[in-house]
Amino acid sequence: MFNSFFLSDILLWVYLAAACCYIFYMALKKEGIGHLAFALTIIGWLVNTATLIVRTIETGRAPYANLYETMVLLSWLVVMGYIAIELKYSNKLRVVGAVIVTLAFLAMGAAAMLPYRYQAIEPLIPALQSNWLILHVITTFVGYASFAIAFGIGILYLLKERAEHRVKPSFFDRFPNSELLDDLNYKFIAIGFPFVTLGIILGAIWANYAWGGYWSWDPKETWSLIVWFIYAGYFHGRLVRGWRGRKTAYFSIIGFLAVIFLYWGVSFVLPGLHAYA
Amino acid sequence: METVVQTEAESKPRGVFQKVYDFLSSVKLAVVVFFLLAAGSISGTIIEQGLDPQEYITRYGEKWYYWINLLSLPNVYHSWWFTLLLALLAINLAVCLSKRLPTIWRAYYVVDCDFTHNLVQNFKNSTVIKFQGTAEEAKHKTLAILKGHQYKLWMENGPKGISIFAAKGRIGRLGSTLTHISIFIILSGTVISSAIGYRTFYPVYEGTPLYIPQGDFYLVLDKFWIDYNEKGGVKDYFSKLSIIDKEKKVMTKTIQVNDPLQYKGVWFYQSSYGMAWDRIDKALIRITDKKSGKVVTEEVLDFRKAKEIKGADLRLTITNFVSHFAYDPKTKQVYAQSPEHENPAIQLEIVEGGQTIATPWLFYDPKLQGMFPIDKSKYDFVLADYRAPQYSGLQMAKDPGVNLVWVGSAFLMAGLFISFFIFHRRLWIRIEPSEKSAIIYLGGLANKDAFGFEKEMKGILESF
Repeated sequence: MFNSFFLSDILLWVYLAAACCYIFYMALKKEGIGHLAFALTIIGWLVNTATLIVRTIETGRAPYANLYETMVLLSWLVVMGYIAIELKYSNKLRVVGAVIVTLAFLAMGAAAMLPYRYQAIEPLIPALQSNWLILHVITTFVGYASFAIAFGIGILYLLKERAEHRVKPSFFDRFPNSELLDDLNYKFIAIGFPFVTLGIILGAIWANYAWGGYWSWDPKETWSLIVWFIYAGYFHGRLVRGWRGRKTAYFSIIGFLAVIFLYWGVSFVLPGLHAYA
Repeated sequence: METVVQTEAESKPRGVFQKVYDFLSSVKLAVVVFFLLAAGSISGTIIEQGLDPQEYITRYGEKWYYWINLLSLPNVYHSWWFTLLLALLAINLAVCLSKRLPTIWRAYYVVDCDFTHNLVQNFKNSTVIKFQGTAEEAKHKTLAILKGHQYKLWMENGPKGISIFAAKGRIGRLGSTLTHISIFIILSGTVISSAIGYRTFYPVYEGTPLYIPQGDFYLVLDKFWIDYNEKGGVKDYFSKLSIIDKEKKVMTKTIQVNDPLQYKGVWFYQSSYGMAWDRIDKALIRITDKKSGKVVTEEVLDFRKAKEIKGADLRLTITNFVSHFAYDPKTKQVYAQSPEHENPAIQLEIVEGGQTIATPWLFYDPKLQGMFPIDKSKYDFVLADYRAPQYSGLQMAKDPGVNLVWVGSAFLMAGLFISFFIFHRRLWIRIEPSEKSAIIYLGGLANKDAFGFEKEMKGILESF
């Protein structure tokens, strides 16, 4: 009964409650609800941590070997990223929390709805029995999580930027100013990009060690390269051409949609070496 | 953000060389190349690679296959146009780099102590401070504060005042250069890989030495075995390999997936295993008398080893085996359609009364048995059972390009880290005496992280 699935079910509801609190906080402008939302986020993150630990004990290995397990990891990282923002900027950026915790809730919901074979504890196939698994998966998912946060901030930016052009007071007045959002959007992509790059490199080293080839144009590899190109394009736009604001916000959204395809689409739609997750 | 100076070339008349140079270094070219590379890559993930032409025709139809074939889509990542695009990317990279390098180098290297307070006041981040004290005191205070912020300092005393130039994190300027060079190195690694790198798959059988020409030595599979888990699934599989070099055993190692063997730069990876598709160990042949319909004998035969059958005036040899019987009418050859044991068959050489009377194919599938009786013989022959040996699937690779790829990857990580997390910040400070006090003009530029820089500037001001 006290297993990882039970914990992740609870987690789903805690994140939902936290996300609702954030949204009420935005609507009602009551600080108390904001504090409650943050407290629930912390509780959720602790349950998330416990889920990962229990899963490790259940499987006797690093819990990153199938789609369900990596979703738990991803929401853990994303929420941790938000908690870091909250600690740094105190309660100024709680609206970011509304988006990020909702994303974590959606991630856990999607994980819960996966067919059982993507959730079940299976013994590791020989190709995955390696310490490279931990390094490769963690670096990649720190990258994905950063891109997810940048995606959330990108959406907020677009909403806020449009509202700033209007004179009437609006719901979006409580959003942090667009320049700060733009800066944060850049910072998370600047964290995510080196991590995803490292994830790809570690994957190549591992593939070379396990299969004797560092690159085989497997769909997962190919799509990771496409994602890499998109964010490389983002940096060239921003740092060479001086793009700011709307253009880069759209870029961060498109980039993350490509990440979702890389992460889920490739696993379900395209056959390949990387079939496990 | 500093803008790149691009106007010089536009005012001069442009020669052909200049035009080509501009084209090769243009961002437009980079965008188009990236877009086409992405499109090609995506097509390769949608259209399955490396199938038979026939398979594409059944999937997409004759008409589409014409286009698929024309664009080399069945092998898109190695097609001429994909390679050409990669080459264009490399050239674009190199030309862009050479174009931007002087600007980057200037920003990295130049120390600028020759300026007036007008320059300082032109910066977006600039302030004027009234300092209670002499210019000399103002100078010491400024130097102390900036040292506290880890700035490197240069100074010039002029007749009208003191100019101080402060900078830190200038290595951050070189991050992007290092990143682009690293891409170049990785690309050259992949070129070497595809030019002289060598990869092949060997099904290896226990006890049969395999000559490896790439290293001039023999590989022997001493033993292959599989470990199962409690559920009966395959947990792990192992090959104990020996290397024989110049008739001496120089090395023995048990490999498994994720734990290869390396000798003389040649790597052997455990890749798969399976039942042989072209050979067997033994087979059981049932011989029946045609007239009486009685079983005369059941004989165990070794592969490709003739056996005299006592009391029947027969000599039998199993000459061939295929796991999945197929016949090619053009070449009149029998071959294995797949390595799966879907329709196993042996070819039996029958010598009866001192003469080879037939070499029929005998099927293991009961439905196909006895379909082709051998007219010249007194007997019927049936393949009752067989045992095929297990092979260990070894991937062999010798690829000198790999190391270059790793070097490039290390540079890439270093370059990204430097360019994202080390910021070049420069301050220009002009101190001018005015009666009993001094005026400090403070202005600065940061190549990245404007927010962080503003914050630091505020901190510096507060220290005054």
